[in-house]
Amino acid sequence: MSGGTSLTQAVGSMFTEYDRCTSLKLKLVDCFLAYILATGIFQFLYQLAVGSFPFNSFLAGFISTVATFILTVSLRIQVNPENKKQFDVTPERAFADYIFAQVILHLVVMNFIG
Amino acid sequence: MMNPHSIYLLVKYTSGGGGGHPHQNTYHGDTEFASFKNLKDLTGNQFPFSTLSRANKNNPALKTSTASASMLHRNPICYYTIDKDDMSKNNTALSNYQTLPSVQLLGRVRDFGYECGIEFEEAGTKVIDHINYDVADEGDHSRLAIDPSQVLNNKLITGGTPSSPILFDGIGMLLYEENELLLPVIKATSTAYSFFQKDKITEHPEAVGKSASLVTALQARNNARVMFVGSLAMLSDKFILSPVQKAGSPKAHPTNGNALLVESMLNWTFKKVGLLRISEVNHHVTGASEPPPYYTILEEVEYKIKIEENVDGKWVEFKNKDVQMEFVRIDPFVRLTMQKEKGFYVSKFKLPDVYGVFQYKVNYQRQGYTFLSSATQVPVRPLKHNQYERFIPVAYPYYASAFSMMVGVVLFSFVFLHFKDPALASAGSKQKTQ
Repeated sequence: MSGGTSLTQAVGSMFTEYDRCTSLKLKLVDCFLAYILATGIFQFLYQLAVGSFPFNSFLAGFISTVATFILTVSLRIQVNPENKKQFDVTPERAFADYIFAQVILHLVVMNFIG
Repeated sequence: MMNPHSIYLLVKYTSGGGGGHPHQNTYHGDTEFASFKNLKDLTGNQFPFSTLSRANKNNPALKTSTASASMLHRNPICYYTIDKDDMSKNNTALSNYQTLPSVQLLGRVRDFGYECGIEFEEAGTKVIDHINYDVADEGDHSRLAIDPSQVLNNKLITGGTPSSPILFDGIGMLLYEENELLLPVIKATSTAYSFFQKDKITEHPEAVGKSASLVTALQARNNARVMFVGSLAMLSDKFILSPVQKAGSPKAHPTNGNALLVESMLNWTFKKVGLLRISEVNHHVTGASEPPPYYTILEEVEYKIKIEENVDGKWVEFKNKDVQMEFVRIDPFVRLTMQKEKGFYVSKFKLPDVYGVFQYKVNYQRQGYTFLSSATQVPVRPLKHNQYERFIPVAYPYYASAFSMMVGVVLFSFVFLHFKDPALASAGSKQKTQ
Protein backbone atom coordinates (compact mmCIF):
# COMPACT_ATOMS: atom_id res chain seq x y z
CA MET A 1 0.00 0.00 0.00
CA SER A 2 2.05 2.97 -1.23
CA GLY A 3 1.12 6.65 -0.38
CA GLY A 4 -1.11 7.48 -3.31
CA THR A 5 -2.22 10.91 -4.51
CA SER A 6 -5.93 10.44 -3.92
CA LEU A 7 -7.44 11.90 -0.75
CA THR A 8 -9.02 8.73 0.57
CA GLN A 9 -5.72 6.90 0.21
CA ALA A 10 -3.94 9.69 2.12
CA VAL A 11 -6.48 9.70 4.93
CA GLY A 12 -6.50 5.94 5.14
CA SER A 13 -2.72 5.75 5.36
CA MET A 14 -2.80 8.49 8.02
CA PHE A 15 -5.11 6.43 10.18
CA THR A 16 -3.05 3.21 9.84
CA GLU A 17 0.14 5.10 10.62
CA TYR A 18 -1.49 6.60 13.70
CA ASP A 19 -2.72 3.25 14.86
CA ARG A 20 0.70 1.72 14.57
CA CYS A 21 2.92 4.44 15.93
CA THR A 22 1.16 5.90 18.93
CA SER A 23 1.42 4.20 22.27
CA LEU A 24 -1.66 3.13 24.16
CA LYS A 25 -1.19 5.85 26.72
CA LEU A 26 -1.37 8.55 24.12
CA LYS A 27 -4.36 6.87 22.56
CA LEU A 28 -6.07 7.12 25.93
CA VAL A 29 -5.43 10.82 26.04
CA ASP A 30 -6.74 11.11 22.49
CA CYS A 31 -9.98 9.43 23.50
CA PHE A 32 -10.51 11.93 26.23
CA LEU A 33 -9.72 14.74 23.81
CA ALA A 34 -12.30 13.44 21.39
CA TYR A 35 -14.93 13.40 24.13
CA ILE A 36 -14.13 16.98 25.12
CA LEU A 37 -14.35 18.04 21.50
CA ALA A 38 -17.71 16.39 21.08
CA THR A 39 -19.12 18.12 24.16
CA GLY A 40 -17.85 21.46 22.95
CA ILE A 41 -19.35 21.08 19.49
CA PHE A 42 -22.66 19.92 20.94
CA GLN A 43 -22.81 22.99 23.19
CA PHE A 44 -22.11 25.33 20.36
CA LEU A 45 -24.81 23.80 18.16
CA TYR A 46 -27.26 23.95 21.06
CA GLN A 47 -26.55 27.64 21.53
CA LEU A 48 -27.08 28.28 17.80
CA ALA A 49 -30.42 26.50 17.96
CA VAL A 50 -31.82 27.92 21.19
CA GLY A 51 -30.19 31.34 21.36
CA SER A 52 -27.72 32.74 23.80
CA PHE A 53 -30.08 33.71 26.60
CA PRO A 54 -27.96 33.08 29.67
CA PHE A 55 -24.90 34.08 27.74
CA ASN A 56 -22.69 33.75 30.78
CA SER A 57 -23.76 30.13 31.21
CA PHE A 58 -23.04 29.39 27.58
CA LEU A 59 -19.64 30.98 27.77
CA ALA A 60 -18.76 29.17 30.98
CA GLY A 61 -19.78 25.79 29.61
CA PHE A 62 -18.13 26.29 26.25
CA ILE A 63 -14.91 27.68 27.61
CA SER A 64 -14.65 24.91 30.15
CA THR A 65 -14.56 22.42 27.24
CA VAL A 66 -12.12 24.47 25.22
CA ALA A 67 -9.77 25.04 28.14
CA THR A 68 -9.81 21.40 29.25
CA PHE A 69 -9.04 20.48 25.66
CA ILE A 70 -6.07 22.79 25.58
CA LEU A 71 -4.74 21.62 28.93
CA THR A 72 -5.09 17.97 27.97
CA VAL A 73 -3.32 18.61 24.69
CA SER A 74 -0.44 20.27 26.50
CA LEU A 75 -0.27 17.29 28.86
CA ARG A 76 -0.15 14.96 25.88
CA ILE A 77 2.69 16.95 24.32
CA GLN A 78 4.72 16.94 27.50
CA VAL A 79 4.20 13.27 28.15
CA ASN A 80 5.00 12.08 24.64
CA PRO A 81 8.52 10.58 24.75
CA GLU A 82 9.21 11.71 21.18
CA ASN A 83 9.28 15.32 22.41
CA LYS A 84 11.98 14.74 24.98
CA LYS A 85 14.33 17.08 23.17
CA GLN A 86 12.03 20.13 23.51
CA PHE A 87 10.29 19.45 26.78
CA ASP A 88 12.71 18.14 29.37
CA VAL A 89 10.05 17.62 31.97
CA THR A 90 9.13 14.55 33.93
CA PRO A 91 5.63 13.20 33.31
CA GLU A 92 4.85 13.69 36.97
CA ARG A 93 5.66 17.37 36.80
CA ALA A 94 3.53 17.70 33.68
CA PHE A 95 0.62 16.00 35.35
CA ALA A 96 0.96 18.18 38.46
CA ASP A 97 0.80 21.31 36.30
CA TYR A 98 -2.22 19.85 34.53
CA ILE A 99 -4.14 19.29 37.74
CA PHE A 100 -3.26 22.72 39.11
CA ALA A 101 -4.47 24.41 35.96
CA GLN A 102 -7.67 22.34 35.94
CA VAL A 103 -8.48 23.38 39.50
CA ILE A 104 -8.19 27.04 38.64
CA LEU A 105 -10.18 26.54 35.45
CA HIS A 106 -13.08 24.84 37.15
CA LEU A 107 -13.12 27.38 39.93
CA VAL A 108 -13.56 30.14 37.38
CA VAL A 109 -16.16 28.18 35.42
CA MET A 110 -18.28 27.53 38.48
CA ASN A 111 -18.24 31.22 39.37
CA PHE A 112 -19.13 32.35 35.92
CA ILE A 113 -21.78 29.82 35.08
CA GLY A 114 -24.30 31.66 37.31
CA MET B 1 -52.27 92.86 40.63
CA MET B 2 -54.52 89.94 39.89
CA ASN B 3 -55.38 87.41 42.55
CA PRO B 4 -54.95 84.02 40.94
CA HIS B 5 -57.96 82.60 42.71
CA SER B 6 -60.57 85.14 41.60
CA ILE B 7 -61.89 86.63 38.49
CA TYR B 8 -62.40 90.33 38.42
CA LEU B 9 -65.56 92.28 37.92
CA LEU B 10 -64.97 95.70 36.61
CA VAL B 11 -67.82 98.06 36.10
CA LYS B 12 -67.26 101.51 34.97
CA TYR B 13 -69.81 104.22 35.20
CA THR B 14 -70.19 106.46 32.26
CA SER B 15 -72.56 109.32 32.86
CA GLY B 16 -75.60 109.54 30.59
CA GLY B 17 -74.87 109.33 26.93
CA GLY B 18 -71.54 107.68 27.28
CA GLY B 19 -69.46 110.83 27.44
CA GLY B 20 -68.49 110.64 31.10
CA HIS B 21 -65.11 111.77 32.24
CA PRO B 22 -63.29 108.87 33.85
CA HIS B 23 -61.85 110.95 36.63
CA GLN B 24 -65.22 111.81 37.97
CA ASN B 25 -65.75 108.30 39.20
CA THR B 26 -64.07 106.91 42.23
CA TYR B 27 -60.82 105.45 41.34
CA HIS B 28 -58.59 103.28 43.39
CA GLY B 29 -55.30 102.11 42.15
CA ASP B 30 -55.71 99.93 39.09
CA THR B 31 -59.36 99.20 39.64
CA GLU B 32 -62.14 101.47 38.54
CA PHE B 33 -65.38 100.31 39.90
CA ALA B 34 -68.95 101.22 40.59
CA SER B 35 -71.44 99.89 43.05
CA PHE B 36 -73.99 97.28 42.39
CA LYS B 37 -76.83 95.65 44.22
CA ASN B 38 -77.86 92.03 44.41
CA LEU B 39 -74.62 90.65 43.17
CA LYS B 40 -74.50 87.99 45.82
CA ASP B 41 -76.77 85.57 44.04
CA LEU B 42 -74.08 84.25 41.77
CA THR B 43 -70.94 84.99 43.64
CA GLY B 44 -72.11 84.25 47.17
CA ASN B 45 -70.46 87.37 48.53
CA GLN B 46 -72.25 90.50 49.53
CA PHE B 47 -70.95 93.56 47.85
CA PRO B 48 -71.17 96.61 50.09
CA PHE B 49 -72.12 98.82 47.25
CA SER B 50 -74.63 101.48 46.68
CA THR B 51 -75.16 103.16 43.41
CA LEU B 52 -72.93 106.12 42.93
CA SER B 53 -74.29 108.95 40.99
CA ARG B 54 -72.54 111.94 39.63
CA ALA B 55 -74.35 114.12 42.13
CA ASN B 56 -73.02 112.08 44.96
CA LYS B 57 -69.47 112.07 43.86
CA ASN B 58 -68.43 114.53 46.49
CA ASN B 59 -70.24 112.80 49.31
CA PRO B 60 -67.50 111.51 51.57
CA ALA B 61 -69.78 108.84 53.03
CA LEU B 62 -70.25 107.31 49.63
CA LYS B 63 -66.77 107.71 48.38
CA THR B 64 -65.87 104.09 48.37
CA SER B 65 -62.84 103.44 50.41
CA THR B 66 -59.97 101.07 50.21
CA ALA B 67 -62.09 98.50 52.02
CA SER B 68 -64.40 97.94 49.10
CA ALA B 69 -61.59 98.16 46.66
CA SER B 70 -59.77 95.37 48.39
CA MET B 71 -63.04 93.48 48.60
CA LEU B 72 -63.17 93.73 44.87
CA HIS B 73 -59.72 92.35 44.63
CA ARG B 74 -60.83 89.33 46.57
CA ASN B 75 -64.19 88.72 44.99
CA PRO B 76 -64.90 87.31 41.62
CA ILE B 77 -66.04 89.79 39.02
CA CYS B 78 -66.35 90.20 35.31
CA TYR B 79 -65.79 93.08 32.98
CA TYR B 80 -68.37 95.26 31.29
CA THR B 81 -69.63 98.78 31.11
CA ILE B 82 -72.99 100.29 31.83
CA ASP B 83 -74.68 103.61 31.59
CA LYS B 84 -76.12 104.63 34.89
CA ASP B 85 -79.09 106.47 33.47
CA ASP B 86 -80.77 103.40 32.15
CA MET B 87 -80.55 100.88 35.00
CA SER B 88 -83.66 98.76 35.09
CA LYS B 89 -85.07 97.43 38.29
CA ASN B 90 -85.62 93.71 37.75
CA ASN B 91 -84.51 91.42 40.50
CA THR B 92 -83.77 88.13 38.87
CA ALA B 93 -80.24 86.91 39.38
CA LEU B 94 -79.20 87.72 35.89
CA SER B 95 -80.53 91.20 36.05
CA ASN B 96 -77.48 92.19 38.01
CA TYR B 97 -75.75 92.56 34.71
CA GLN B 98 -77.70 95.30 33.11
CA THR B 99 -76.96 96.84 29.86
CA LEU B 100 -77.86 99.65 27.57
CA PRO B 101 -77.74 100.82 24.07
CA SER B 102 -74.82 103.12 24.47
CA VAL B 103 -71.93 101.13 25.65
CA GLN B 104 -68.35 102.12 25.67
CA LEU B 105 -65.57 99.60 25.91
CA LEU B 106 -63.50 100.39 28.94
CA GLY B 107 -59.87 101.06 28.23
CA ARG B 108 -58.84 98.76 31.00
CA VAL B 109 -60.91 95.96 29.60
CA ARG B 110 -59.23 96.41 26.26
CA ASP B 111 -55.80 96.34 27.92
CA PHE B 112 -56.65 93.27 29.90
CA GLY B 113 -57.84 91.70 26.66
CA TYR B 114 -54.47 92.40 25.08
CA GLU B 115 -52.77 90.70 27.99
CA CYS B 116 -54.88 87.64 27.35
CA GLY B 117 -54.32 87.62 23.63
CA ILE B 118 -57.62 89.20 22.63
CA GLU B 119 -57.88 92.27 20.47
CA PHE B 120 -61.20 94.03 20.73
CA GLU B 121 -62.48 95.91 17.75
CA GLU B 122 -62.38 99.67 17.80
CA ALA B 123 -64.56 101.26 20.48
CA GLY B 124 -67.94 102.21 19.08
CA THR B 125 -68.05 99.53 16.42
CA LYS B 126 -70.60 96.77 16.39
CA VAL B 127 -70.68 93.36 14.75
CA ILE B 128 -72.98 93.68 11.75
CA ASP B 129 -74.36 90.88 9.65
CA HIS B 130 -76.74 91.71 6.83
CA ILE B 131 -77.86 88.11 6.51
CA ASN B 132 -78.13 86.63 10.00
CA TYR B 133 -79.85 89.41 11.93
CA ASP B 134 -82.95 89.26 14.06
CA VAL B 135 -86.26 90.60 12.70
CA ALA B 136 -86.54 92.99 15.68
CA ASP B 137 -83.41 94.77 14.54
CA GLU B 138 -83.60 98.53 14.28
CA GLY B 139 -82.24 98.78 10.78
CA ASP B 140 -78.46 98.62 10.98
CA HIS B 141 -78.41 94.79 11.34
CA SER B 142 -76.36 94.71 14.52
CA ARG B 143 -78.88 92.72 16.51
CA LEU B 144 -77.69 89.31 15.46
CA ALA B 145 -79.47 85.98 15.59
CA ILE B 146 -76.67 83.56 16.28
CA ASP B 147 -77.20 80.10 14.89
CA PRO B 148 -76.70 77.30 17.47
CA SER B 149 -73.95 75.83 15.34
CA GLN B 150 -71.79 78.88 16.02
CA VAL B 151 -71.80 78.16 19.73
CA LEU B 152 -69.20 75.90 21.35
CA ASN B 153 -70.68 72.53 22.14
CA ASN B 154 -69.38 71.98 25.66
CA LYS B 155 -71.70 70.96 28.47
CA LEU B 156 -69.65 72.77 31.08
CA ILE B 157 -69.08 76.09 29.40
CA THR B 158 -72.23 76.54 27.32
CA GLY B 159 -74.59 73.78 28.45
CA GLY B 160 -74.31 72.03 25.11
CA THR B 161 -75.48 73.33 21.74
CA PRO B 162 -78.42 75.69 22.30
CA SER B 163 -81.83 74.63 21.07
CA SER B 164 -82.71 78.04 19.67
CA PRO B 165 -80.74 80.92 18.23
CA ILE B 166 -78.93 83.36 20.49
CA LEU B 167 -79.46 87.11 20.42
CA PHE B 168 -76.31 89.20 20.36
CA ASP B 169 -75.67 92.91 19.94
CA GLY B 170 -72.19 94.09 20.58
CA ILE B 171 -68.54 94.29 19.73
CA GLY B 172 -66.33 91.67 18.14
CA MET B 173 -62.83 90.54 19.03
CA LEU B 174 -59.89 88.88 17.39
CA LEU B 175 -57.97 86.10 19.05
CA TYR B 176 -54.23 85.61 18.97
CA GLU B 177 -53.84 82.40 16.93
CA GLU B 178 -50.99 80.87 18.84
CA ASN B 179 -52.67 81.10 22.22
CA GLU B 180 -53.85 77.57 22.92
CA LEU B 181 -55.79 78.57 26.02
CA LEU B 182 -58.27 80.89 24.33
CA LEU B 183 -61.55 79.29 23.46
CA PRO B 184 -64.06 81.04 21.18
CA VAL B 185 -67.43 80.30 22.74
CA ILE B 186 -69.43 82.09 20.05
CA LYS B 187 -67.85 82.68 16.67
CA ALA B 188 -69.19 85.09 14.09
CA THR B 189 -70.54 83.88 10.76
CA SER B 190 -68.62 84.24 7.55
CA THR B 191 -70.96 87.07 6.53
CA ALA B 192 -70.31 89.20 9.64
CA TYR B 193 -68.07 92.22 9.92
CA SER B 194 -67.49 95.03 12.44
CA PHE B 195 -67.93 98.68 11.84
CA PHE B 196 -69.54 101.79 13.26
CA GLN B 197 -73.30 101.65 12.93
CA LYS B 198 -74.81 103.79 10.22
CA ASP B 199 -71.40 104.85 8.91
CA LYS B 200 -70.22 104.27 5.43
CA ILE B 201 -67.39 101.80 5.45
CA THR B 202 -64.16 103.61 4.75
CA GLU B 203 -61.56 101.05 5.75
CA HIS B 204 -61.28 97.30 5.88
CA PRO B 205 -62.61 96.07 9.24
CA GLU B 206 -60.43 93.92 11.45
CA ALA B 207 -62.86 91.49 13.05
CA VAL B 208 -64.46 89.93 10.04
CA GLY B 209 -66.05 86.58 9.32
CA LYS B 210 -65.36 83.35 11.16
CA SER B 211 -62.12 84.59 12.69
CA ALA B 212 -64.02 87.17 14.71
CA SER B 213 -65.08 85.93 18.09
CA LEU B 214 -68.13 87.30 19.91
CA VAL B 215 -67.62 85.58 23.25
CA THR B 216 -64.30 84.14 24.33
CA ALA B 217 -63.38 82.02 27.29
CA LEU B 218 -59.93 81.68 28.74
CA GLN B 219 -58.66 79.30 31.36
CA ALA B 220 -55.13 80.28 32.32
CA ARG B 221 -52.49 77.76 33.31
CA ASN B 222 -53.11 78.60 36.96
CA ASN B 223 -56.78 77.71 36.38
CA ALA B 224 -58.04 81.28 36.58
CA ARG B 225 -61.04 81.69 34.30
CA VAL B 226 -61.97 84.76 32.32
CA MET B 227 -64.94 85.23 30.00
CA PHE B 228 -64.88 88.07 27.52
CA VAL B 229 -68.41 88.83 26.39
CA GLY B 230 -68.70 91.23 23.50
CA SER B 231 -72.30 92.08 24.21
CA LEU B 232 -73.84 93.20 27.47
CA ALA B 233 -77.21 93.08 25.79
CA MET B 234 -76.90 89.33 25.51
CA LEU B 235 -76.84 89.10 29.30
CA SER B 236 -79.77 91.41 29.90
CA ASP B 237 -83.32 90.48 30.80
CA LYS B 238 -84.61 92.30 27.78
CA PHE B 239 -82.76 90.02 25.40
CA ILE B 240 -83.22 86.86 27.40
CA LEU B 241 -86.98 87.24 27.43
CA SER B 242 -87.47 88.25 23.83
CA PRO B 243 -88.27 85.88 20.98
CA VAL B 244 -85.88 85.44 18.10
CA GLN B 245 -86.41 84.98 14.39
CA LYS B 246 -83.75 85.15 11.79
CA ALA B 247 -84.63 87.62 9.06
CA GLY B 248 -85.53 85.75 5.94
CA SER B 249 -86.30 82.53 7.77
CA PRO B 250 -89.94 81.55 8.40
CA LYS B 251 -89.20 79.87 11.73
CA ALA B 252 -89.97 82.07 14.74
CA HIS B 253 -88.64 80.92 18.12
CA PRO B 254 -90.72 82.22 21.03
CA THR B 255 -87.79 81.73 23.37
CA ASN B 256 -84.16 82.09 22.50
CA GLY B 257 -81.24 80.16 23.92
CA ASN B 258 -79.74 83.09 25.81
CA ALA B 259 -80.92 82.16 29.31
CA LEU B 260 -79.35 78.72 29.44
CA LEU B 261 -76.24 79.82 27.61
CA VAL B 262 -75.60 82.81 29.83
CA GLU B 263 -76.27 80.84 32.99
CA SER B 264 -73.85 78.09 31.90
CA MET B 265 -71.22 80.62 30.92
CA LEU B 266 -71.44 82.42 34.23
CA ASN B 267 -71.45 79.21 36.23
CA TRP B 268 -68.33 78.11 34.44
CA THR B 269 -66.60 81.44 34.83
CA PHE B 270 -67.30 81.61 38.54
CA LYS B 271 -66.07 78.05 39.04
CA LYS B 272 -69.37 76.50 39.94
CA VAL B 273 -68.82 73.78 37.38
CA GLY B 274 -65.82 72.04 35.97
CA LEU B 275 -63.77 72.43 39.11
CA LEU B 276 -61.50 69.49 39.84
CA ARG B 277 -58.90 68.67 42.40
CA ILE B 278 -56.53 65.83 43.20
CA SER B 279 -57.09 64.69 46.74
CA GLU B 280 -54.87 61.63 47.16
CA VAL B 281 -51.97 60.02 45.38
CA ASN B 282 -50.51 56.66 46.33
CA HIS B 283 -48.19 54.16 44.72
CA HIS B 284 -46.79 50.84 45.88
CA VAL B 285 -45.61 47.40 44.88
CA THR B 286 -48.52 45.00 44.29
CA GLY B 287 -49.24 43.45 47.63
CA ALA B 288 -47.83 46.27 49.77
CA SER B 289 -49.72 49.37 50.84
CA GLU B 290 -47.08 52.06 51.33
CA PRO B 291 -44.68 53.55 48.82
CA PRO B 292 -41.31 51.80 49.14
CA PRO B 293 -38.05 53.76 49.46
CA TYR B 294 -37.08 52.48 46.04
CA TYR B 295 -38.33 50.17 43.30
CA THR B 296 -36.43 47.45 41.43
CA ILE B 297 -36.70 46.92 37.70
CA LEU B 298 -39.42 44.57 36.43
CA GLU B 299 -41.50 44.84 39.60
CA GLU B 300 -45.32 44.80 39.54
CA VAL B 301 -46.55 48.15 40.83
CA GLU B 302 -49.84 49.95 41.39
CA TYR B 303 -50.54 53.65 41.17
CA LYS B 304 -53.67 55.22 42.63
CA ILE B 305 -55.00 58.74 42.38
CA LYS B 306 -58.22 60.27 43.64
CA ILE B 307 -59.78 63.09 41.66
CA GLU B 308 -62.76 64.99 42.97
CA GLU B 309 -65.18 67.34 41.28
CA ASN B 310 -66.98 70.20 42.94
CA VAL B 311 -70.71 69.75 42.36
CA ASP B 312 -73.01 72.26 44.06
CA GLY B 313 -70.31 73.25 46.47
CA LYS B 314 -69.46 69.71 47.59
CA TRP B 315 -66.50 67.66 46.51
CA VAL B 316 -67.69 64.42 45.00
CA GLU B 317 -66.03 61.61 43.07
CA PHE B 318 -65.07 62.54 39.55
CA LYS B 319 -66.74 60.19 37.10
CA ASN B 320 -64.93 60.54 33.78
CA LYS B 321 -63.14 57.46 32.51
CA ASP B 322 -60.41 58.98 30.35
CA VAL B 323 -57.76 59.88 32.92
CA GLN B 324 -54.35 58.65 31.83
CA MET B 325 -51.15 58.07 33.73
CA GLU B 326 -47.60 58.10 32.40
CA PHE B 327 -44.44 56.59 33.80
CA VAL B 328 -41.77 58.95 32.59
CA ARG B 329 -38.01 59.12 32.60
CA ILE B 330 -37.61 62.02 30.19
CA ASP B 331 -39.78 60.04 27.77
CA PRO B 332 -42.79 58.04 28.88
CA PHE B 333 -42.07 54.33 29.17
CA VAL B 334 -45.61 53.41 30.14
CA ARG B 335 -48.86 55.23 29.33
CA LEU B 336 -52.12 53.76 30.58
CA THR B 337 -55.75 54.80 30.84
CA MET B 338 -56.65 54.30 34.46
CA GLN B 339 -59.49 52.13 35.75
CA LYS B 340 -61.82 53.17 38.53
CA GLU B 341 -61.62 51.10 41.68
CA LYS B 342 -63.32 52.12 44.94
CA GLY B 343 -63.28 55.82 44.13
CA PHE B 344 -59.65 55.80 43.02
CA TYR B 345 -58.21 55.80 39.55
CA VAL B 346 -55.86 52.82 39.49
CA SER B 347 -53.25 51.61 37.07
CA LYS B 348 -51.35 48.37 37.51
CA PHE B 349 -48.33 47.59 35.43
CA LYS B 350 -44.87 46.07 35.35
CA LEU B 351 -41.92 48.41 35.63
CA PRO B 352 -39.81 48.53 32.48
CA ASP B 353 -36.45 46.80 32.30
CA VAL B 354 -34.74 50.16 32.71
CA TYR B 355 -33.35 51.66 35.88
CA GLY B 356 -33.20 55.36 36.75
CA VAL B 357 -35.30 58.06 38.31
CA PHE B 358 -38.87 58.01 37.03
CA GLN B 359 -42.02 60.04 37.61
CA TYR B 360 -45.62 58.97 37.79
CA LYS B 361 -47.34 61.73 35.85
CA VAL B 362 -51.01 62.58 35.56
CA ASN B 363 -51.71 65.52 33.27
CA TYR B 364 -55.44 65.94 32.73
CA GLN B 365 -56.43 68.78 30.43
CA ARG B 366 -59.94 68.74 29.07
CA GLN B 367 -61.98 71.59 27.66
CA GLY B 368 -64.05 73.12 30.43
CA TYR B 369 -62.32 71.41 33.35
CA THR B 370 -59.53 72.83 35.47
CA PHE B 371 -56.08 71.63 34.49
CA LEU B 372 -54.81 68.86 36.72
CA SER B 373 -51.18 67.99 37.01
CA SER B 374 -49.44 65.61 39.38
CA ALA B 375 -45.90 64.24 39.33
CA THR B 376 -44.45 61.76 41.83
CA GLN B 377 -40.77 60.96 41.58
CA VAL B 378 -39.50 57.44 42.34
CA PRO B 379 -36.12 55.74 41.99
CA VAL B 380 -35.89 52.40 40.18
CA ARG B 381 -32.79 50.37 40.90
CA PRO B 382 -31.16 47.57 38.88
CA LEU B 383 -31.03 44.01 40.22
CA LYS B 384 -28.66 43.27 43.06
CA HIS B 385 -26.08 40.58 42.40
CA ASN B 386 -28.14 38.04 44.32
CA GLN B 387 -31.44 38.92 42.62
CA TYR B 388 -30.65 37.35 39.29
CA GLU B 389 -32.24 34.08 38.14
CA ARG B 390 -30.49 30.89 39.20
CA PHE B 391 -30.76 27.43 37.62
CA ILE B 392 -32.31 28.52 34.37
CA PRO B 393 -33.75 25.43 32.62
CA VAL B 394 -32.59 26.47 29.17
CA ALA B 395 -29.01 26.54 30.43
CA TYR B 396 -29.03 22.96 31.77
CA PRO B 397 -26.83 21.62 28.91
CA TYR B 398 -24.14 24.12 29.82
CA TYR B 399 -24.27 23.12 33.50
CA ALA B 400 -24.12 19.48 32.40
CA SER B 401 -21.09 20.02 30.19
CA ALA B 402 -19.16 21.94 32.84
CA PHE B 403 -19.77 19.21 35.41
CA SER B 404 -19.02 16.50 32.90
CA MET B 405 -15.68 18.17 32.19
CA MET B 406 -14.81 18.06 35.86
CA VAL B 407 -15.86 14.45 36.22
CA GLY B 408 -14.04 13.58 33.04
CA VAL B 409 -10.84 15.17 34.25
CA VAL B 410 -11.01 13.25 37.51
CA LEU B 411 -11.66 9.90 35.80
CA PHE B 412 -9.05 10.57 33.16
CA SER B 413 -6.39 11.48 35.68
CA PHE B 414 -7.23 8.34 37.69
CA VAL B 415 -6.81 6.16 34.65
CA PHE B 416 -3.79 8.07 33.41
CA LEU B 417 -1.89 7.67 36.67
CA HIS B 418 -2.59 3.97 37.04
CA PHE B 419 -1.93 3.23 33.43
CA LYS B 420 0.68 0.60 32.66
CA ASP B 421 1.94 0.68 29.14
CA PRO B 422 1.39 -2.85 27.72
CA ALA B 423 4.67 -2.68 25.72
CA LEU B 424 6.54 -2.05 28.94
CA ALA B 425 4.44 -4.63 30.76
CA SER B 426 5.27 -7.29 28.17
CA ALA B 427 8.93 -6.23 28.29
CA GLY B 428 8.80 -6.48 32.04
CA SER B 429 7.13 -9.86 31.93
CA LYS B 430 9.66 -10.96 29.32
CA GLN B 431 12.40 -9.90 31.66
CA LYS B 432 10.76 -11.78 34.43
CA THR B 433 10.46 -14.91 32.43
CA GLN B 434 14.12 -14.70 31.44
